[in-house]
Amino acid sequence: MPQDQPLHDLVDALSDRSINDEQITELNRRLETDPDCRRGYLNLMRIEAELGALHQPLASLSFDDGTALVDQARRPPAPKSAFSHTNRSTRFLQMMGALAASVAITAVCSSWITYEGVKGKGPLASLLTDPHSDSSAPTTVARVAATRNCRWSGDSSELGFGADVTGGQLLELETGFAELTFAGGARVVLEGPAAFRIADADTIQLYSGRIAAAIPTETVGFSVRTPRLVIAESGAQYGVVAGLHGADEVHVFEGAVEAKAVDGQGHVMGVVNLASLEAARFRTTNHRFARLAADDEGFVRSLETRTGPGEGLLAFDNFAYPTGPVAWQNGGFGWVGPWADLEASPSEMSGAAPSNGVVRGSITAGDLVALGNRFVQSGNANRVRRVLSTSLGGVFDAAGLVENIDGLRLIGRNSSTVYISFLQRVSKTDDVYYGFELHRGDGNFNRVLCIGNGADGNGYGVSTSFKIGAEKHFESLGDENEAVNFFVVRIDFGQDDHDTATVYRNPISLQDESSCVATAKLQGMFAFDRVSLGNFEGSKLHEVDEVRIGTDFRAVTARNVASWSDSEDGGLADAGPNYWPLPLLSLR
Amino acid sequence: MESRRNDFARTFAKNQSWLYAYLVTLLGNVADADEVFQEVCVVLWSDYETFDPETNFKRWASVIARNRVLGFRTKQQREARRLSDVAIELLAEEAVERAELLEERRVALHGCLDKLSTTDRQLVAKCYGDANRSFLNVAEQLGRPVNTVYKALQRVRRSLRECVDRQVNAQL
Repeated sequence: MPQDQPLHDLVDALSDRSINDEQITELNRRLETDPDCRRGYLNLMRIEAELGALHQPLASLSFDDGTALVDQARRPPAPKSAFSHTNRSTRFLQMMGALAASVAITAVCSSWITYEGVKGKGPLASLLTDPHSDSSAPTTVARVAATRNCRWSGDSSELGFGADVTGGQLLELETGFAELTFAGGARVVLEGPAAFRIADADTIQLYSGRIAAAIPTETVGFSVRTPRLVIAESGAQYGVVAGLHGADEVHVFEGAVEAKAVDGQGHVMGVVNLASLEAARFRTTNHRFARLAADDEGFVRSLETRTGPGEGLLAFDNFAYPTGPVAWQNGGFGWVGPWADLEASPSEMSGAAPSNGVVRGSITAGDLVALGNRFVQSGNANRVRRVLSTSLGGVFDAAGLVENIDGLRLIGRNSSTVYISFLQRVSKTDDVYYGFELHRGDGNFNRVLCIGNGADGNGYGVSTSFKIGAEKHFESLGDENEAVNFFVVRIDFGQDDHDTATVYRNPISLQDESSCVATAKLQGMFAFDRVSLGNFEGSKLHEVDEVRIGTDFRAVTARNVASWSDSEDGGLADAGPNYWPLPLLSLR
Repeated sequence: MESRRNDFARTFAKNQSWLYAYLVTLLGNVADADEVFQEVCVVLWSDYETFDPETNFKRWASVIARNRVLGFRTKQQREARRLSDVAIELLAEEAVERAELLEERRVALHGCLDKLSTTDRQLVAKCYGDANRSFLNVAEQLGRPVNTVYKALQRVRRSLRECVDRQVNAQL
């Protein structure tokens, strides 16, 4: 068949974007009336499309047979043709990767457009339906773990404590706070007024309002998105502000965060990397980030924190004190007085020692939410202690845990069980003594239990000065490291002061003790009435945070809230945040 | 669920080349097609569970793609020189019906490209590597007059089209 040269010229002009009015009129006339012209046009455009796909360096839209590409791993390599230097398969895979990211970002952006189009017209939930949601089979993607003074708009009013949140729901929190947990382990606190959509188990789209997010290291792929920002970081805790008028902010509480600024089409316009306690505001006027200090106290980051004993938790301290010496600080609950310096570095002996101090920011591990500040012993020969409320009628006495031993009122009544948890980190391993200690009265000889390194010349482990007979006074806790370690210690007080301490180092579950494997067990006499923190010799820093003492495993792992593991759905429970498939990792 | 998604991924991979060409056909150039292609992919993947594997993917995807093309055109300036709505409707239908025949042309093109001289291949790469088809840029890169570049490209295009026709006709 001879070539239709006029049609070729028209197609060239059209595809080169140089077609004039006369030509487009002629082309349309022929396409509308001439089947042969349409056939010829389709033939020519098929070639144009392939040439474009082969040579677009950014889109990398090179198409081989799809089956061949999907199954290429199962095929022997084909000989290269003279033109195959473009490596089509590789570019196809690159394109698919780029496309996957584009799909996610563009999907979010399309939601922004929809949202912007209806805001101000009434309750969003009644106006806006998610085009991507499958209404026939709603999928639960999150659970309301806690609420405080919550008022939701429209159909969301039933979203109370323990309620399931289905994917694609557009939610408007008019006032109050709501804490949500996700199957992958992420935890967020939303502060009303806020409008957001939980697109799926890995994506929360914040249209307006504030959110604080705690994303465990093990959680992969979770992101918080605003119309202008994308934060997809795990192993971090951060806050995000989405302003309807273009002032979006990221505040990092823990870990390192990369925030991306995106335009309306999802194209990345800029990137900022932030460390702990840094923040950035994205300015839409110049499409740049402005750095600022994180407002870590301006976000409500957990609704779990109790202001007093309850639900099995009897004593708590997260060192939410001003930076400086810890001595005379008297926060938390379950204690009978403030922290006191027992020993301090020689140069600091007068008054409260900053070498036993509080520094800004928390340490954390897993999906524990880091709140308040943290305790740091920055010098040597330092020890602080704080006495627990064991007096008559005090919180431990009321719980039936106190008995008189040697004239002291100690926690350790026969047949009772106590749990202690805390976070601990050292900056240098195998560097002489440090420890989280339980004491009965002050003094080294009264140290009933110590978790750390170097006690009595031993290495990293749990030790006691109150062993029974021929029983061991030390058990190893494995390899020491510089990561944040989360400890749960269970003490079973037996008859005749034959007590058993079971230590879980980074327990695999925060919910179910029976699924955890003990790192060490020790026999001894462990009744105690105070907590001490010591750091002697060497050059290391010893840090401690989130001290909890209670009568229940979940009370000291901060898990007496609705979470995935409460579900009767085994699949969700297995995938829940409280089952860590890997050992806990440090956030930094 | 995962199996269904994987099945869809395979189906998508088999048909994405056609889908891209479908958009180039209706929009008339690769620059606009690139933009709409991304949007269409988003919708296809978002709605993949609604696709019945027993039905024709191209027909299912073409409805979504055509709607996106129409949406894209409404955002374009009115004075944009583009295909008429009638032409688009006719081409959209025939592009699905003739998909297999058009696939033969795509395969044939690869063989024809291999036959080009190095100079001509470079020319094609540079001209089609610029989605906006700026011959001025290409001319500057090659150090040749714009008109010369344009005429050279027309010559190569003609050569490729004739080659594709010959190869396809030889298979009949």
